Amino acid sequence: MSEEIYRVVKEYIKSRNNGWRFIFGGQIFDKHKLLKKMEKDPELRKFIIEQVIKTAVDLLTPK
Amino acid sequence: MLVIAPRFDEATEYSYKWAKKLVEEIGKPYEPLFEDSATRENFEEKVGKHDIVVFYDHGDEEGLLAQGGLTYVIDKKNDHMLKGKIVYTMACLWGSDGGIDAWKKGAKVVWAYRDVFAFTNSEEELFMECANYGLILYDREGKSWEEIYEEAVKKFDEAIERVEDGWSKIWLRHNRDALVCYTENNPPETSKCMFRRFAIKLFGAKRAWKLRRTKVLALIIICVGYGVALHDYAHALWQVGGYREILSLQGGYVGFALIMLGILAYFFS
Repeated sequence: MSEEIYRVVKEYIKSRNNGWRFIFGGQIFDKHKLLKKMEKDPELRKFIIEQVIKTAVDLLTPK
Repeated sequence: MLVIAPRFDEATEYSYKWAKKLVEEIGKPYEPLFEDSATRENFEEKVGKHDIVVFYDHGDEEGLLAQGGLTYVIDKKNDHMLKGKIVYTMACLWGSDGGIDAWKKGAKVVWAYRDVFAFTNSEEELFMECANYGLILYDREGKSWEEIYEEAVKKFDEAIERVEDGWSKIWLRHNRDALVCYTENNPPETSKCMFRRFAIKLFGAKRAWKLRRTKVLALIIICVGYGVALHDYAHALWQVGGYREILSLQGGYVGFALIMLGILAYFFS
Protein backbone atom coordinates (compact mmCIF):
# COMPACT_ATOMS: atom_id res chain seq x y z
CA MET A 1 0.00 0.00 0.00
CA SER A 2 2.77 2.42 1.00
CA GLU A 3 4.60 1.64 -2.22
CA GLU A 4 1.51 2.47 -4.21
CA ILE A 5 1.14 5.80 -2.40
CA TYR A 6 4.81 6.56 -2.97
CA ARG A 7 4.46 5.77 -6.66
CA VAL A 8 1.50 8.15 -6.98
CA VAL A 9 3.33 10.87 -5.03
CA LYS A 10 6.31 10.56 -7.38
CA GLU A 11 4.02 10.74 -10.41
CA TYR A 12 2.40 13.84 -8.98
CA ILE A 13 5.72 15.57 -8.33
CA LYS A 14 7.02 14.66 -11.79
CA SER A 15 3.97 16.30 -13.32
CA ARG A 16 4.71 19.71 -11.71
CA ASN A 17 6.15 22.48 -13.84
CA ASN A 18 9.70 23.76 -13.45
CA GLY A 19 8.65 26.78 -11.41
CA TRP A 20 6.93 24.65 -8.79
CA ARG A 21 8.43 24.84 -5.30
CA PHE A 22 7.71 22.96 -2.12
CA ILE A 23 8.80 24.83 0.99
CA PHE A 24 9.27 22.46 3.91
CA GLY A 25 10.45 24.49 6.88
CA GLY A 26 13.83 25.87 5.92
CA GLN A 27 14.23 23.61 2.90
CA ILE A 28 13.05 24.54 -0.55
CA PHE A 29 12.58 21.85 -3.18
CA ASP A 30 11.87 22.01 -6.87
CA LYS A 31 10.44 18.83 -8.35
CA HIS A 32 13.84 17.32 -9.18
CA LYS A 33 15.32 18.02 -5.76
CA LEU A 34 12.28 16.65 -3.98
CA LEU A 35 12.28 13.42 -5.99
CA LYS A 36 15.98 12.98 -5.32
CA LYS A 37 15.58 13.72 -1.61
CA MET A 38 12.71 11.26 -1.27
CA GLU A 39 14.72 8.52 -2.95
CA LYS A 40 17.63 9.08 -0.58
CA ASP A 41 15.78 9.81 2.62
CA PRO A 42 13.49 7.00 3.87
CA GLU A 43 12.43 9.12 6.85
CA LEU A 44 11.08 11.85 4.57
CA ARG A 45 9.43 9.25 2.36
CA LYS A 46 7.72 7.71 5.37
CA PHE A 47 6.69 11.13 6.67
CA ILE A 48 5.12 12.11 3.34
CA ILE A 49 3.24 8.81 3.05
CA GLU A 50 1.93 9.35 6.58
CA GLN A 51 0.72 12.82 5.61
CA VAL A 52 -1.08 11.43 2.56
CA ILE A 53 -2.87 8.86 4.72
CA LYS A 54 -3.72 11.41 7.42
CA THR A 55 -5.19 13.73 4.81
CA ALA A 56 -7.23 10.94 3.23
CA VAL A 57 -8.61 10.05 6.67
CA ASP A 58 -9.33 13.72 7.36
CA LEU A 59 -11.15 14.23 4.06
CA LEU A 60 -13.30 11.16 4.64
CA THR A 61 -14.17 12.14 8.21
CA PRO A 62 -17.58 13.84 8.34
CA LYS A 63 -17.24 17.36 9.75
CA MET B 1 3.06 45.62 18.29
CA LEU B 2 6.62 44.42 17.79
CA VAL B 3 7.06 42.62 14.46
CA ILE B 4 10.16 40.49 13.96
CA ALA B 5 10.92 39.15 10.49
CA PRO B 6 14.46 38.16 9.53
CA ARG B 7 15.26 37.74 5.85
CA PHE B 8 18.36 35.84 4.81
CA ASP B 9 17.47 32.84 2.64
CA GLU B 10 14.87 31.73 0.13
CA ALA B 11 12.41 30.50 2.75
CA THR B 12 12.59 33.77 4.69
CA GLU B 13 11.81 35.67 1.49
CA TYR B 14 8.36 34.15 1.82
CA SER B 15 7.94 34.63 5.57
CA TYR B 16 9.17 38.23 5.29
CA LYS B 17 6.63 38.92 2.56
CA TRP B 18 3.86 37.32 4.63
CA ALA B 19 4.75 39.38 7.71
CA LYS B 20 4.65 42.57 5.62
CA LYS B 21 1.28 41.58 4.23
CA LEU B 22 0.00 40.92 7.77
CA VAL B 23 0.94 44.35 9.11
CA GLU B 24 -0.38 45.97 5.96
CA GLU B 25 -3.75 44.28 6.45
CA ILE B 26 -3.90 45.21 10.12
CA GLY B 27 -2.98 48.76 9.21
CA LYS B 28 -1.95 49.88 12.67
CA PRO B 29 1.36 51.32 13.87
CA TYR B 30 4.01 48.76 14.69
CA GLU B 31 7.69 48.62 15.47
CA PRO B 32 9.59 46.56 12.89
CA LEU B 33 12.59 44.40 13.61
CA PHE B 34 13.13 43.42 10.01
CA GLU B 35 16.15 41.85 8.31
CA ASP B 36 19.41 42.97 9.97
CA SER B 37 17.60 44.50 12.93
CA ALA B 38 15.97 41.14 13.77
CA THR B 39 18.43 40.38 16.56
CA ARG B 40 18.22 39.18 20.13
CA GLU B 41 19.63 42.45 21.47
CA ASN B 42 17.03 44.54 19.67
CA PHE B 43 14.23 42.24 20.76
CA GLU B 44 15.31 42.46 24.40
CA GLU B 45 15.59 46.23 24.18
CA LYS B 46 12.20 46.79 22.56
CA VAL B 47 9.92 44.05 23.85
CA GLY B 48 9.00 45.82 27.10
CA LYS B 49 7.10 48.51 25.19
CA HIS B 50 4.76 46.13 23.38
CA ASP B 51 1.78 43.92 24.22
CA ILE B 52 1.91 41.90 21.02
CA VAL B 53 5.01 40.21 19.61
CA VAL B 54 4.84 38.87 16.06
CA PHE B 55 7.53 36.59 14.67
CA TYR B 56 7.67 35.25 11.09
CA ASP B 57 10.64 33.12 10.12
CA HIS B 58 12.57 29.97 11.00
CA GLY B 59 12.08 28.32 14.33
CA ASP B 60 12.91 25.08 16.05
CA GLU B 61 11.99 23.35 19.30
CA GLU B 62 14.30 25.61 21.28
CA GLY B 63 13.56 29.03 19.89
CA LEU B 64 12.94 31.52 17.11
CA LEU B 65 15.91 32.31 14.90
CA ALA B 66 17.53 35.69 14.42
CA GLN B 67 18.82 37.25 11.21
CA GLY B 68 21.40 34.90 9.70
CA GLY B 69 19.92 31.86 11.41
CA LEU B 70 22.86 31.23 13.74
CA THR B 71 21.39 32.59 16.97
CA TYR B 72 17.97 32.94 18.53
CA VAL B 73 15.90 36.08 18.90
CA ILE B 74 13.86 34.26 21.52
CA ASP B 75 14.79 31.08 23.34
CA LYS B 76 14.33 29.61 26.80
CA LYS B 77 16.87 32.00 28.30
CA ASN B 78 14.93 35.16 27.46
CA ASP B 79 11.37 33.96 26.91
CA HIS B 80 10.42 35.22 30.39
CA MET B 81 10.40 38.63 28.71
CA LEU B 82 7.20 37.55 26.94
CA LYS B 83 5.29 37.50 30.23
CA GLY B 84 1.83 39.01 29.82
CA LYS B 85 2.22 39.32 26.04
CA ILE B 86 0.44 37.90 23.03
CA VAL B 87 2.99 36.02 20.94
CA TYR B 88 1.91 35.34 17.37
CA THR B 89 4.29 33.28 15.27
CA MET B 90 4.59 31.59 11.90
CA ALA B 91 7.63 29.42 12.44
CA CYS B 92 8.41 25.73 12.53
CA LEU B 93 8.30 23.62 15.69
CA TRP B 94 8.46 26.32 18.37
CA GLY B 95 5.01 25.30 19.66
CA SER B 96 6.34 21.85 20.56
CA ASP B 97 8.65 23.02 23.33
CA GLY B 98 9.92 26.64 23.33
CA GLY B 99 6.39 27.99 23.00
CA ILE B 100 5.28 25.85 25.95
CA ASP B 101 8.16 27.25 27.98
CA ALA B 102 7.17 30.83 27.09
CA TRP B 103 3.58 30.07 28.06
CA LYS B 104 4.74 28.51 31.35
CA LYS B 105 6.69 31.66 32.10
CA GLY B 106 3.61 33.79 31.70
CA ALA B 107 3.06 34.61 28.02
CA LYS B 108 -0.64 35.40 27.77
CA VAL B 109 -1.11 33.78 24.37
CA VAL B 110 1.27 31.62 22.36
CA TRP B 111 0.21 31.10 18.74
CA ALA B 112 2.65 28.67 17.18
CA TYR B 113 3.22 25.47 15.21
CA ARG B 114 4.40 22.28 16.87
CA ASP B 115 5.64 20.78 13.61
CA VAL B 116 7.33 21.97 10.42
CA PHE B 117 5.36 24.58 8.49
CA ALA B 118 5.11 23.56 4.84
CA PHE B 119 3.57 25.05 1.72
CA THR B 120 3.74 25.24 -2.06
CA ASN B 121 4.46 28.36 -4.06
CA SER B 122 1.59 27.54 -6.41
CA GLU B 123 -0.91 28.11 -3.58
CA GLU B 124 1.17 30.56 -1.56
CA GLU B 125 -1.65 33.08 -1.18
CA LEU B 126 -3.92 30.52 0.45
CA PHE B 127 -1.26 29.33 2.90
CA MET B 128 -0.47 32.93 3.80
CA GLU B 129 -4.14 33.75 4.38
CA CYS B 130 -4.41 30.86 6.83
CA ALA B 131 -1.17 31.77 8.63
CA ASN B 132 -2.17 35.44 9.01
CA TYR B 133 -5.81 34.87 9.79
CA GLY B 134 -5.63 34.65 13.60
CA LEU B 135 -4.07 38.02 14.26
CA ILE B 136 -6.26 39.74 11.69
CA LEU B 137 -9.32 38.28 13.39
CA TYR B 138 -8.06 39.40 16.80
CA ASP B 139 -7.54 42.92 15.50
CA ARG B 140 -10.87 43.19 13.68
CA GLU B 141 -13.29 41.31 15.89
CA GLY B 142 -11.65 41.28 19.31
CA LYS B 143 -12.75 37.71 19.98
CA SER B 144 -11.19 35.51 22.64
CA TRP B 145 -8.12 33.56 21.53
CA GLU B 146 -9.93 30.28 22.06
CA GLU B 147 -12.61 31.43 19.60
CA ILE B 148 -9.96 32.74 17.21
CA TYR B 149 -8.20 29.38 17.26
CA GLU B 150 -11.45 27.61 16.36
CA GLU B 151 -12.06 30.11 13.55
CA ALA B 152 -8.53 29.63 12.26
CA VAL B 153 -9.00 25.86 12.16
CA LYS B 154 -12.22 26.45 10.18
CA LYS B 155 -10.29 28.74 7.85
CA PHE B 156 -7.82 25.92 7.21
CA ASP B 157 -10.75 23.53 6.64
CA GLU B 158 -12.27 25.90 4.09
CA ALA B 159 -8.92 26.26 2.34
CA ILE B 160 -8.51 22.47 2.24
CA GLU B 161 -11.92 22.17 0.66
CA ARG B 162 -11.40 25.06 -1.75
CA VAL B 163 -7.97 24.13 -3.10
CA GLU B 164 -8.00 21.69 -6.00
CA ASP B 165 -4.38 20.61 -5.78
CA GLY B 166 -4.08 17.46 -3.66
CA TRP B 167 -0.52 18.21 -2.52
CA SER B 168 -1.62 21.59 -1.14
CA LYS B 169 -4.52 19.91 0.65
CA ILE B 170 -2.00 17.65 2.40
CA TRP B 171 0.12 20.52 3.70
CA LEU B 172 -2.77 22.74 4.64
CA ARG B 173 -4.08 19.85 6.73
CA HIS B 174 -0.62 19.30 8.17
CA ASN B 175 -0.25 22.97 9.14
CA ARG B 176 -3.75 23.04 10.61
CA ASP B 177 -2.95 20.08 12.85
CA ALA B 178 0.38 21.62 13.85
CA LEU B 179 -1.19 24.90 14.90
CA VAL B 180 -1.46 25.50 18.65
CA CYS B 181 -2.80 28.37 20.68
CA TYR B 182 -1.83 28.19 24.33
CA THR B 183 -3.81 30.38 26.68
CA GLU B 184 -4.86 30.18 30.31
CA ASN B 185 -8.01 28.34 29.23
CA ASN B 186 -6.30 26.23 26.62
CA PRO B 187 -3.05 24.91 28.11
CA PRO B 188 -0.64 22.57 26.30
CA GLU B 189 -1.76 18.95 26.24
CA THR B 190 1.78 17.68 26.64
CA SER B 191 5.03 18.41 28.42
CA LYS B 192 8.65 17.29 28.35
CA CYS B 193 8.36 16.51 32.06
CA MET B 194 7.24 12.93 32.69
CA PHE B 195 5.44 13.85 35.93
CA ARG B 196 3.57 16.67 34.23
CA ARG B 197 2.49 14.32 31.42
CA PHE B 198 1.25 11.89 34.04
CA ALA B 199 -0.62 14.70 35.82
CA ILE B 200 -2.18 15.81 32.49
CA LYS B 201 -3.46 12.28 31.95
CA LEU B 202 -4.73 12.08 35.50
CA PHE B 203 -6.31 15.49 36.06
CA GLY B 204 -6.58 17.03 32.58
CA ALA B 205 -4.33 19.77 31.17
CA LYS B 206 -5.97 22.72 32.88
CA ARG B 207 -5.57 21.31 36.39
CA ALA B 208 -2.24 19.63 35.74
CA TRP B 209 -0.54 22.87 34.66
CA LYS B 210 -1.67 24.54 37.88
CA LEU B 211 0.26 22.02 39.93
CA ARG B 212 3.49 23.45 41.25
CA ARG B 213 6.47 21.44 42.42
CA THR B 214 6.08 22.73 45.99
CA LYS B 215 2.39 21.82 45.98
CA VAL B 216 3.10 18.27 44.80
CA LEU B 217 5.87 17.92 47.39
CA ALA B 218 3.49 19.20 50.07
CA LEU B 219 0.90 16.62 48.99
CA ILE B 220 3.47 13.80 49.18
CA ILE B 221 4.57 14.92 52.67
CA ILE B 222 0.96 15.11 53.81
CA CYS B 223 0.21 11.63 52.44
CA VAL B 224 3.26 10.08 54.12
CA GLY B 225 2.45 11.82 57.42
CA TYR B 226 -1.16 10.75 57.10
CA GLY B 227 -0.14 7.15 56.52
CA VAL B 228 2.21 7.12 59.52
CA ALA B 229 -0.45 8.65 61.79
CA LEU B 230 -3.14 6.22 60.56
CA HIS B 231 -0.85 3.25 61.08
CA ASP B 232 0.07 4.42 64.55
CA TYR B 233 -3.59 4.93 65.45
CA ALA B 234 -4.51 1.47 64.16
CA HIS B 235 -1.62 -0.04 66.15
CA ALA B 236 -2.86 1.65 69.33
CA LEU B 237 -6.35 0.25 68.70
CA TRP B 238 -4.89 -3.23 68.14
CA GLN B 239 -3.13 -3.01 71.51
CA VAL B 240 -6.42 -2.15 73.16
CA GLY B 241 -8.64 -4.80 71.56
CA GLY B 242 -6.97 -6.55 68.62
CA TYR B 243 -8.35 -6.56 65.07
CA ARG B 244 -11.94 -6.30 66.28
CA GLU B 245 -11.10 -2.91 67.79
CA ILE B 246 -9.45 -1.78 64.56
CA LEU B 247 -12.47 -2.82 62.49
CA SER B 248 -15.06 -1.20 64.72
CA LEU B 249 -16.23 2.34 64.06
CA GLN B 250 -13.96 4.80 65.83
CA GLY B 251 -14.30 8.55 66.23
CA GLY B 252 -10.68 8.84 65.07
CA TYR B 253 -11.61 7.46 61.65
CA VAL B 254 -14.13 10.24 61.20
CA GLY B 255 -11.34 12.66 62.06
CA PHE B 256 -9.00 11.10 59.47
CA ALA B 257 -11.76 11.16 56.83
CA LEU B 258 -12.44 14.85 57.52
CA ILE B 259 -8.73 15.67 57.26
CA MET B 260 -8.55 13.83 53.91
CA LEU B 261 -11.62 15.64 52.59
CA GLY B 262 -10.16 18.97 53.67
CA ILE B 263 -6.85 18.24 51.93
CA LEU B 264 -8.56 17.14 48.71
CA ALA B 265 -10.83 20.18 48.74
CA TYR B 266 -7.82 22.45 49.23
CA PHE B 267 -5.74 20.92 46.42
CA PHE B 268 -8.46 20.53 43.87
CA SER B 269 -10.55 23.62 44.47
